[in-house]
Order: sequence, then C-alpha cells, then structure tokens
Amino acid sequence: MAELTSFSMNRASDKLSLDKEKIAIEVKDWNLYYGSKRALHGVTMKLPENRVTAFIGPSGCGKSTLLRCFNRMNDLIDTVSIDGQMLLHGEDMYSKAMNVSALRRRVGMVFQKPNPFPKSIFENVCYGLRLQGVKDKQVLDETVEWALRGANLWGEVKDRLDDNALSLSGGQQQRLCIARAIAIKPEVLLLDEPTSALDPISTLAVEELIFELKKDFTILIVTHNMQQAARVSDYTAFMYMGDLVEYTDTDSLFTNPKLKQTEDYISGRYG
Amino acid sequence: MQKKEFSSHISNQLNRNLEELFNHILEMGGMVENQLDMALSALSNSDIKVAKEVIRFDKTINQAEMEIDRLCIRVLARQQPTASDLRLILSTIRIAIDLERMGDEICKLAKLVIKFQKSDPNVCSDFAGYSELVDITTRSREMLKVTLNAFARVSAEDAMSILDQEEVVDQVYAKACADVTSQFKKNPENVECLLEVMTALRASERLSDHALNIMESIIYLVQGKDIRNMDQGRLTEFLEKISGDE
Repeated sequence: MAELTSFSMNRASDKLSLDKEKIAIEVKDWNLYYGSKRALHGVTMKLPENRVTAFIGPSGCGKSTLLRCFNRMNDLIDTVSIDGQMLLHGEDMYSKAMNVSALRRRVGMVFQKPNPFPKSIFENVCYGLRLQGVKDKQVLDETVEWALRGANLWGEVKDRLDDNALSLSGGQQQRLCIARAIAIKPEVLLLDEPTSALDPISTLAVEELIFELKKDFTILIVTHNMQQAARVSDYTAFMYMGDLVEYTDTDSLFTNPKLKQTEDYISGRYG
Repeated sequence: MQKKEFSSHISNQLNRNLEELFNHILEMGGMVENQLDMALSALSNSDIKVAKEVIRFDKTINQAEMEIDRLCIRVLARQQPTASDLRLILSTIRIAIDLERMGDEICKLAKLVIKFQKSDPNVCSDFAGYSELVDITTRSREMLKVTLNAFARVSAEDAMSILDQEEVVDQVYAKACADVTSQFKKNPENVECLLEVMTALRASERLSDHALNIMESIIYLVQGKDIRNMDQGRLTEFLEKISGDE
C-alpha cells in the first residue's frame, strides 16, 4: 500500500534553472553589425546542454541572426562584423584557430524550407559522412538507419532508400533534412523555423522529434509560432530589436513573465 | 496590473471573451452576495419564505459556474492564452468553484432556518451559537464584498485584511463550537437542534474560507504567485510587500 505521505506526481513546480544546467554554448556581450547597423546588442546568455532553447520575437528582432552566429553562417555575409565572445563547450568559436568547417560539423543546421539534395534518400543522409571521407559501406548503412530512425522517418522510407528525396512529402523532406543534420552527430542542432512550411500533422511529427532529439543533442530553435515554443522548448529567449529582453525557463516565461514587454508580446497586446 | 490590460490585445475576439469572463465572475459574485444577504435576513428574522428562496436561487448560481467553465474552455481551446491572460482563466475557474460552493454553504444556513421554523418558531434564535452564527455569516459577507471589489480592481492590496478577518472568524467559530458542545450535556433534549446549529456554524465558517480562497486566486492573477499552503510568516511578509508595491 502506498504511504500516505507519498507523492508520485511529477512536480510541475520543480522549475528548470540555468544554474543547475551543463552549458553547451556561452555568449558574452555579443554584438553584430550589418555594415553600420547594429543588429544584435550585447547579447549575453548561457545555452544549456541537452535542452531545447527557443528564440521568439517579432520579425527583424535578430533571432535568426543570432542563430546563424552559432555556426558562423554570418561569415558568409560580407558586410557583417561582430564583437563579443561565443564559446562552444568553453572553446572560442570565433578564434583564429577554429576550423569553420569543423565547427559546422559540430553545430548542424536545419532551415525553414526543406532543402534535400536531388539525390536518393540514402545519399542525402550520408552526404556529410561522405564529405568526411567515410567509405565503409557498413558504417554508412548503419549511420543512415540510425539517423533516419532518430528523425522518425525510417519506418516510412526503409523500403525506398534509393528513391529520389524530392519524391517525399514536405514533412518527410524536413525530417530527412534533420536526419542529414544529425547523421554527422553534431553537438548542437540549430533549427530555423523548421516547421513554418509544414502542415499541422507534419509539424507535430517534427515537434515530437525535437523532444526526442534533445536526449542526444543541444537544440536551439527559432520560431514565429509562440505556441510551438511553449510546446517544445525548455528555455525561451524573447528578443526585441536586437536585444535579448527576457530569457528564462519556458514555464515561467509563458505563465508569469517578469517584463511587461515580454508579456505584451506573448499575449498579443499592442505593447 | 489593470483591468484594461485584458482588453488591449490585437485580437478583439480575445478582448471580448476575457471581458465577458470578467463580467461573468462579477455577476456570479453579485448573485452569491444577494443569496447571502437573503440568508442573513432569513436567519435574523426566522423567515422561512426567504430561506426557501435562497435554496431555489442556488440552481441559478450553479448554472453560472457551468457557463463560466464553458467560456474558459472555449478561450483555452481557441485562443491559447498566455501569461496574465492564462492566469485570469485559471483564477476565474477557481473563483467560480469557490462561489458555487459558497452557494451550497449558504443553502445549509437556509435549511437551518426551515428546520428550526418547523420544530419551534420561537426558540431557534435562543440556542447557543446562534448569535455567533449570524456574526460569522455577517463577517463572511463583508469578506466576500472585499474580495469581489479586489477582483473588480484587479488588486491584491486588501489581501491582508481578508487574512485578518479570517482569523477573527476562526476564533468566533471556535468559541461558538465550545458553547454549543457544552450545551450538549446541559440540554440533552436539544441535541438535535444543537447539531443543526453546529452544521450551520461550520457552513458559515466555510464561507470565510472560500472568501480567502478567492483572494488567493486574485493574488495569483495579479502577482503570478501561488500562496496556497504558504507558511504564516512568509505569507504575511509577502502580503505586506505586495500591499506596499500596489
């Protein structure tokens, strides 16, 4: 018989706290400029390992710009300049010694629109491995299966791995892109509005996948859909006009935000 | 936080629904106030007709609770409120439950009047505990008024006074119970009536508990803080702080 004092419910009151987390990425006083326009204003934050952190905010607030900083995608834009510090497991991501290709292997990215290569499903998933020079058929087979299972797509495509990836539905294509991203086993996975081009059912499949993937990866997601941020993330960062306005555990942010600016945004007020 | 904030969303549909919820609670609160006034009148004047009206009126209060639930479910399902809007929904559900239960307790007071009136119309108010019963019910009525005003103003500044009143009610209740119990031995022939008084005393004391619960829901709405089961020291400190802030 259960003791009268026992309490078996999961305690929703046990809040997550950044102080108790292992940190994957640390951002210190991070500024980014497009030419002379300052797009990010002294962002400082710690992004916890094996958690989903969502970035929300209105268009142009800098959330995608910040996300792209985590795998140095902004390096590809000529007018961009940055200052501040960004550390991946304590390692300076912007030091001269950092190999950018190696960094991007450690920090994978999935974009808004599914962008499979016009190749077979199999070749899409093992593309990164081939770039790394992996030729062993068994390793490739095993990794492709592992990644497709991880992306919750294996059951749907296991009998048609040689089919062109473009024959898949939008939702399947996006999960394929996630499989491609995780096949090289990155430490961090960046998702830039990964479901905005998907139907509601595919969206739920990807959200469920995100929940599963955080066991193995640190996930950072930019989303315009606040309910999605509330559903999938452990921590949420609200950004506005280049500032990190409020960053805390998702439960607190969506039930009792500390700042009125956050409250106005998430509850759809004029502000 | 101000009430107008619940009408400042980009979605007018959400504005309308939250405004409606707000008004529903105030309306339901007003109904319970009326019911309580009638019960007090029935108690004071041993008026069986009014007591029966109190019991009849309870159905309307129950319907109001269901209507509020329906509206809350609709807003939750269709508009996914967040932050203070979400807290408003949760507080509204809780307050409606407390108001509905207040209605049930008030009915117990009315039933006492009817039972006494049937046994002996002249003696009921002479029983031990009867004046305390009226006293507790009057205090609970005042507490309800203060809490409904607090809800209307979206303000928790009167929380401390509700807490103080509740303590007074507890003291009066304890004394009344002791008086009634002592009468059990002295007047064993009146045990049945004394038990009825005990039941009614308990009901009137519960009214003040529900008023306190409503204030707790208002504090959650305004401050986002769940103060239920908070120990006395921390609670007093917190209430003094928010009273100062507002």
